[in-house]
Amino acid sequence: MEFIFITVGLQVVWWSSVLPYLSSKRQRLLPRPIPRIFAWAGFVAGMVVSCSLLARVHHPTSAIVYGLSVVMVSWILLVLGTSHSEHKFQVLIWGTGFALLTAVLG
Amino acid sequence: MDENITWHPSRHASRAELGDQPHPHFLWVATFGISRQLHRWIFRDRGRADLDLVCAALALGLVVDRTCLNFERGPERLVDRGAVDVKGSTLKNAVEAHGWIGVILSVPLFIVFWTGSVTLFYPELSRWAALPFTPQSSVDHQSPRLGPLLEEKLQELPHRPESRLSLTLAGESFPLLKLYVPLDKSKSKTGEDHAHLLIDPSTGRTIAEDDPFQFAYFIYALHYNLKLPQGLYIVGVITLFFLVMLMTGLVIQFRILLRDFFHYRHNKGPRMRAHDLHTVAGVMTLPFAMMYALTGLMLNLSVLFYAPTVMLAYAGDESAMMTEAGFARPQRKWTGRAFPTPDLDLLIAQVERENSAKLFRLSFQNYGDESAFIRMSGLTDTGFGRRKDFYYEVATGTFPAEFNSNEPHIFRDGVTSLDALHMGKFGGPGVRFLFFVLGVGVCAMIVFGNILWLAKRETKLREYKKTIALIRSLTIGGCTGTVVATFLGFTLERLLPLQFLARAEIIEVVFLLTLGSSVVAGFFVKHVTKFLAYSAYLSAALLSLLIVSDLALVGPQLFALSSGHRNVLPVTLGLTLSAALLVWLGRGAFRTSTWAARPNKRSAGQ
Repeated sequence: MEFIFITVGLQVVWWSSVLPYLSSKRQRLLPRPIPRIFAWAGFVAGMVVSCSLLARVHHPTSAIVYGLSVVMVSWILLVLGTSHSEHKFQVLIWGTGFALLTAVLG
Repeated sequence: MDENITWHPSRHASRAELGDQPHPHFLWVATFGISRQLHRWIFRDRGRADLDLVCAALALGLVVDRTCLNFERGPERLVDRGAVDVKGSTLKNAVEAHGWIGVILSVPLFIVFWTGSVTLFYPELSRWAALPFTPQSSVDHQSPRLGPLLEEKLQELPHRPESRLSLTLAGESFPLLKLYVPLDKSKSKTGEDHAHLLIDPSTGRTIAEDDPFQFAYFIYALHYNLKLPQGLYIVGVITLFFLVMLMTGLVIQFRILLRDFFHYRHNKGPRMRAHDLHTVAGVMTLPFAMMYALTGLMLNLSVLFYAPTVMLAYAGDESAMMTEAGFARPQRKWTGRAFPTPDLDLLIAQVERENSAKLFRLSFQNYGDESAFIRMSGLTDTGFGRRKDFYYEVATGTFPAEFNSNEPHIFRDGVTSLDALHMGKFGGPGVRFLFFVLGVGVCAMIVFGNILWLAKRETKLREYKKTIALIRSLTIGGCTGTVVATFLGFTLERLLPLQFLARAEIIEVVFLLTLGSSVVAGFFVKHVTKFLAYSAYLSAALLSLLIVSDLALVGPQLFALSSGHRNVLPVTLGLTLSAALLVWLGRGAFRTSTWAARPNKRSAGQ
């Protein structure tokens, strides 16, 4: 059960982190950025959900730090991945894999 | 000078771009006044320290407003009015300070961050190193009891009974028992003042009289003291300057922080890429780097508030201060009256059961005496810090409340939490993996910052070729050399015969020689990216050798996958992944083997 909470929690963080990137003028995935309000609202909601899920396994403070660490790594991955990858959408698969690998580690 | 890679005021949003908003000074002044009134109302019963803090914060705000935010008006207009001298501006000073502090401290800072990132996996690496010594226990085998085993080992040694000895339990971090015993040097056969035995927990046999696997600890020591005299404080000062670099970096990026948050120009040449990689890594890892700067500062320079507090507030009584700080320690004198030690296995089981904890170390004060105390250190399932010590008084068979308080204590809990945060102990291996990735990100930021600094100065200071080459060798050579030396050290940790007397020292010397060789090589290289590519390939080759050695020498233990080995296989898998990543990075660096610091043709022709 703990593995499920962590896996779902980290996937939610990853996909929530994609939203602010998509709302940026510097994003490379979509022809036009998505509305900023929608993106940041989705990000905040996603973080709340994911931290709640992670807090079922870890201490609440640990869950928040865990979530923030995934956000930092995700944004670096998005910036570098979309720039250097021939197929830009591949980065979404990499991110999913990265979150899954982190969840497997525990 | 390439204006694309250096800060230029005109690149920042001008006031016209932002819209003609009112000047924010009056807001600061109003906030200041309102805050003072609010503070008097809320904190009227508290000391002036709070007031000073708020005043200082607001004053800082005013300073920032008077300096950096004035650039909203557009520097050219301000220069025209004579309001601001751009050459002497805060921003320009911040750029200079950021660059010079960065290049001077880059190598020690890189070593601290790199070794710190590796040290996050200290338990796994220690266990991985000790694989050749991993006991092959069988189900029907009865392990010896800890109490009699300890008694037997102590009888063989001329130990000093009143001194503290410790027994590290076999567990996830190490498969063997580690017994540390201070010796009476005059009676010691080896002439040493201590013994450090490695004991097979399943048979009770002493496997080694000194721990031959010291490289993981060497890396850890490099992290916190660089293996230098007074290194703890030196690293503390370096951390302080790292904090200054973060602040100056923040000042430089302040106006474009949000606008260029995801900005990375990968197709605009190596220099621009180095600039953007430095910025992206710096901005996105900022909370992480800030956390490390602050916690590192508090851990390494705690003497700055510790010593004055003991001297001024407690009149030199360290014990009184520690007690009030929540770290009360039993201080009992040796009585000379013998008292039997309790059954340690039962005691451990009791503490683990009652506190939902996993003990990892027992420390004995006045072992075998009526005044004996046993400190049991473990990790609990609750709380952020997780680490907890339990003090057992042998004579009474109790856990005295004065040393085992379960009440929250803001200072003790704070220090424990800071330590847990710094070492990533608050979560599982996943958290440490993320911290490792972010730590490597900071290392990359340091290297790209160096490349950028060299690129800028190489163009400007062409007459100082040797000086630039020296700085290049110390920075780029030092940083890459640290990585190569680390992988070489772990390869030797696996390959060197265990019988070598000075095994640990040999590996440490090889580490330092590799680092030195890389610094020397860095002096002569002409193509930095090629140098980085070759270093990546060399590191990948060393890792490949290490993986092959693992499979050949300790393959059966590695794939045994018993409960004790499960955290070792991921180390080998991680090393395999790192080797593949290094080959990929080497290829990438090789493709862009135009040296970032090469003078461009236009400026060379002028």
